[in-house]
Amino acid sequence: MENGQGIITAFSTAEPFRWVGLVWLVPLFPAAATLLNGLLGRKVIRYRTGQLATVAMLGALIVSLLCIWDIARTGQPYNVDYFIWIGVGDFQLPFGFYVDQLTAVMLFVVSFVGTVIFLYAIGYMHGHPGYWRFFTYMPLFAVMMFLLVLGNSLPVLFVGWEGVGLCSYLLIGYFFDRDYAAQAGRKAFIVNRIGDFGFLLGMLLLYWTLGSVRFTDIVEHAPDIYPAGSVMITVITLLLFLGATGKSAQIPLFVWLPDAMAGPTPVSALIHAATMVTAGVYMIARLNLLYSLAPISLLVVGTVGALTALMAATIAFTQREAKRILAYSTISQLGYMFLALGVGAFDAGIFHLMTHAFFKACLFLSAGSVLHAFHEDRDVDIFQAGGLRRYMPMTRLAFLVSAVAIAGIPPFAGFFSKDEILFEAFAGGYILFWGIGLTAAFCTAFYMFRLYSLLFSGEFRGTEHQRRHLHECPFIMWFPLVILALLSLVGGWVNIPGLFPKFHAFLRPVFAEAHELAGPHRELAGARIWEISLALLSVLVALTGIFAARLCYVQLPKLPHWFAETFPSLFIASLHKYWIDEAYQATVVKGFYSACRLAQWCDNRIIVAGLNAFAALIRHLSEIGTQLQTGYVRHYALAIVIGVVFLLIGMLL
Amino acid sequence: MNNFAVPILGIQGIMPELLLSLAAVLILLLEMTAGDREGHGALSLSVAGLILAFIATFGADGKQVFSSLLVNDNLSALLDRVFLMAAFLVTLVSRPYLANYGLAKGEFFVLLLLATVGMMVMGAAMDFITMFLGLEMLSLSLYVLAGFFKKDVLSGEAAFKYFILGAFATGFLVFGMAFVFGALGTTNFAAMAHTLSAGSPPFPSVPTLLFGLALILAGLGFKISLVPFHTWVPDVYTGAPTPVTALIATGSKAAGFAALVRIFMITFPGSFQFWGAAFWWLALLTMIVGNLFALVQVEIKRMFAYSSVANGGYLAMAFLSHSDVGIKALLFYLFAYTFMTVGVFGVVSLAGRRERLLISEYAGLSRENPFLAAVMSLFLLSLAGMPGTAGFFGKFYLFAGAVRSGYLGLALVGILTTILSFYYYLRVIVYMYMRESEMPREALELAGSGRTALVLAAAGVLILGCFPNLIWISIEQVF
Repeated sequence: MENGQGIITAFSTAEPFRWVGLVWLVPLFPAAATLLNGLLGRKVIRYRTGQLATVAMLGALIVSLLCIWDIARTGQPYNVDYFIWIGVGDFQLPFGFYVDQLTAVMLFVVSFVGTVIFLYAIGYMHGHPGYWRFFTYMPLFAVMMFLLVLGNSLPVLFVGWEGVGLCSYLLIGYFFDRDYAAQAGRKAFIVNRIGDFGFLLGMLLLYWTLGSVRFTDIVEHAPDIYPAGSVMITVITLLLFLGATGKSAQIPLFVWLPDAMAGPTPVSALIHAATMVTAGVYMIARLNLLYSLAPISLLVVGTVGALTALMAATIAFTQREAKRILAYSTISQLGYMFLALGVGAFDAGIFHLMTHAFFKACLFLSAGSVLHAFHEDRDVDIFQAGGLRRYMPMTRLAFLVSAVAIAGIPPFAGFFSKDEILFEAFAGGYILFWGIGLTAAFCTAFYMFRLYSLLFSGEFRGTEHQRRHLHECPFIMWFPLVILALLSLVGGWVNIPGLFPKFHAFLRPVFAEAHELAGPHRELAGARIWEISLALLSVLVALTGIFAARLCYVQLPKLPHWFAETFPSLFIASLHKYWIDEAYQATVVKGFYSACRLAQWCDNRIIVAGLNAFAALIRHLSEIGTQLQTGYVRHYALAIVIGVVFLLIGMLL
Repeated sequence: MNNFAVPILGIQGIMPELLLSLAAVLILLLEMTAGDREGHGALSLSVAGLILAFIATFGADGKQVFSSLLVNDNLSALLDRVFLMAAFLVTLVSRPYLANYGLAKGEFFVLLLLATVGMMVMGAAMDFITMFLGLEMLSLSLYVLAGFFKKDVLSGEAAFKYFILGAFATGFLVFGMAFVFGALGTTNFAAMAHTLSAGSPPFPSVPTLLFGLALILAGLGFKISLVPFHTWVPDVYTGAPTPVTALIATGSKAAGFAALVRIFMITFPGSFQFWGAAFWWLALLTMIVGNLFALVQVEIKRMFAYSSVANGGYLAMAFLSHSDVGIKALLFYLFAYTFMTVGVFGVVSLAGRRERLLISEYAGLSRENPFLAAVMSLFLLSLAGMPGTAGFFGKFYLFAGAVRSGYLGLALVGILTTILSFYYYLRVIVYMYMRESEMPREALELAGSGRTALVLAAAGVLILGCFPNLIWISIEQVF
């Protein structure tokens, strides 16, 4: 194994120096912060833990930028093995990193959004008990997320994958003394385990059939080993996708994400909107070649994505709590990303991942700012808010910018990425996906402006006591909001179709092979005309959604009531989230409990009882046996004689 | 011609034995002249002799000495170390134990040293005559030691039974030796092996030889307490002073296995086809009976007596394995077994001012004497075969050797009975840690040598459990 020398190869290579060689520093900075805060945070560092973690994250950001610059400059992926991690017989798995254009994008998103949110959290978490605990888990999350995006093999990715899951669990249950938070943490963990099981099976199957789990080997050998559309590759990719549905909250495993809002808002912004939940998207994009070999899996990915996008958006219509609405919005937007992956537009999916990270983080942080003003940890009922634009102008501005961005109005970031997904779906001939996506776009604009209107427009509907305490957040919180709002505005400009398609050009090497295998038909007749007209159509749809929301919640507040009374079934179905939680409770959870009770019965009645009977038998034998020990020497001598006779017979006959 | 040659004395070949004997003589002299009431002088001399003898075992050169009566090879050196370690630990435990009963006299240590010399002679014997000499030296010392508490009826009973039955079994042994001599015309192992390998007379055609070997097996079966030659074990182990029990259970048993290896594996390797099947049954029975009967014992010494029988069964399984791995496993287990068995009997010696405590009387020991309870738990866990202790690797090698030699069924029974043994070993821990004591029980003061012995035994258990290679390397050199 040419990488067997481990650290030595990595550091004393004769190759020319590359800045990306410093990539090992990226997870090291937050790791150091975790270690320091975890060990000394409670007694020694105390309220400096936040600053320490943020500085560490800034260090990671700077190194990440150097790496990205290197990758952009040279265009060469960087693969390095540090040491043999698992060595069992012939199976030698090194621990190593792989940095290419896709990794670069993820590195940027994680380190940049991470730094901004850490900064925000210093202000947001101020005065909370367990401040140090928060700033121990958060950098740990960053470490794991970096491992996830940097790992050069599936097992390393899986370490990060499980690691972020653990941190997610710890941070959802950050207020562990509150029952709902502890429950939500458990729910997230258990639901994710189901997905991880699929992931693990897929990974093992891949190793079994391909003989390697390293990305470079997969890219090299997969097309030779798996014929396109073969059963094995379809099974593998579907199993891996099951893992993605858990982590990225897609049908059928999306139910944990809305509950995960029990964590502090910076957690929701970083983990449950911008980074961790996109891990599934990243994983499929990373394994794009495998998915291109399995058209059925791609179709499943696309279908699940489209359905999730629409379903979550319609649930968001009727929810009352700000963060919960944003959670459904996240699920819906992740659906878009999977829709993009499903139609083979991997680059569009990653593009949306990036812009979504900006505007969704901004939305969450703005919501957090509102919570902060309400002195509320959990969530705020938007029907008890209203008129906040007067009290919180910066927050309102940031929220408005990012809401416009997510709604898909040019020239904001969301327009470019979302419109591209829709166009790719249309161009690839997936007209149904396109139709669902367009409908979901309308819904997105509607629920987002419903949220905006109820929070910031009109008059304040809360208590007088609350009203007196309303205030704009401090600088350390609104400064990150401004940065993210700015990026929600300009973040999409890195890829303007026709004029400035830099982002796709950057990512092209990663997906080139997959595009050849299964890419959409890019030569749509009169593509430019189609593209412009479709863009106009989706802008029109988004504007309609916005105006509808303004109409319902500002101009004619009676309208929603009328709607709910006229179509009660639709309203109630959305309000109850289509009863999916209840269905799971009735089938999976109840079924599991029944199985447990059966197992308990078997244990008590069959196994334990059987064992006890056997033990009684042994004891009985033992008691009978010891009576042979009479104490008389003559009996003992007889035993010896019997032994001698036995030996004589045994040996002579 | 040779008849007139001056025999090669080869004093250096019996250096360890000589040193021990010298120490024994010095203790006797000390006793007679200075008077050594508390046994401190005897203890010091014994310890010095044992340590010097231990060092002397590293001078093994593989030569036969005294006209091929004894051999000084790696095997005898390794066995010597087992004997010496057992004797060393027992000696350390003995003084505080005996002092408690006012019996810390020099002759106890003398007999202990002489018994050890007997074991060493057995391990080094290359001739039936020397082997018998060693055996008798060992046995006679032990008979006296078992009855050392003259006023204790049970101690006397133990000595009496041990003597009667021992003499009975020795009778078979000598009888067997005579038959073998009759068949082959020599008592020297090398000469016997040579005669057989020369091809005449071939094995099966000499029933007298087989008859003799069967009787020898029976005689040695008594020493290693194979079922059904084990009947003396519970009574003698219980009645004898506890440190003596420890020596009988470890050193004496090891000497028996040493003789078995010398005779049946080195001198008559071809005899296996005759005794293998019969011995298989004895090993099986020993494992089952030992473990099964230990389950219901209420007295702790009696329980450990059966546990010792069971361990003899495991050792017999290794001996039966008849392979390179099997014998190495046997030697390794002898080391492990010595540490943990002397350890438990050491704790039993020091845990009360009274002999023969019940298991239930160990309740609350962890509160009153945490050190004793902790080392006792360690030895018990090791006996049960917990990873991280010597017992784990010992059992691992035993079962691995048995499986490799094709004794899958025997290994399976061994593992099942080991599981059974968890019950009675862990029961003691339960009493020590989870039950309150019903009546105050005075433990001995754990100053000085007693504590040292237990610490050393515990260290041995842990070191062998974590770095089994330390011993394994010297075992590898034997074959």
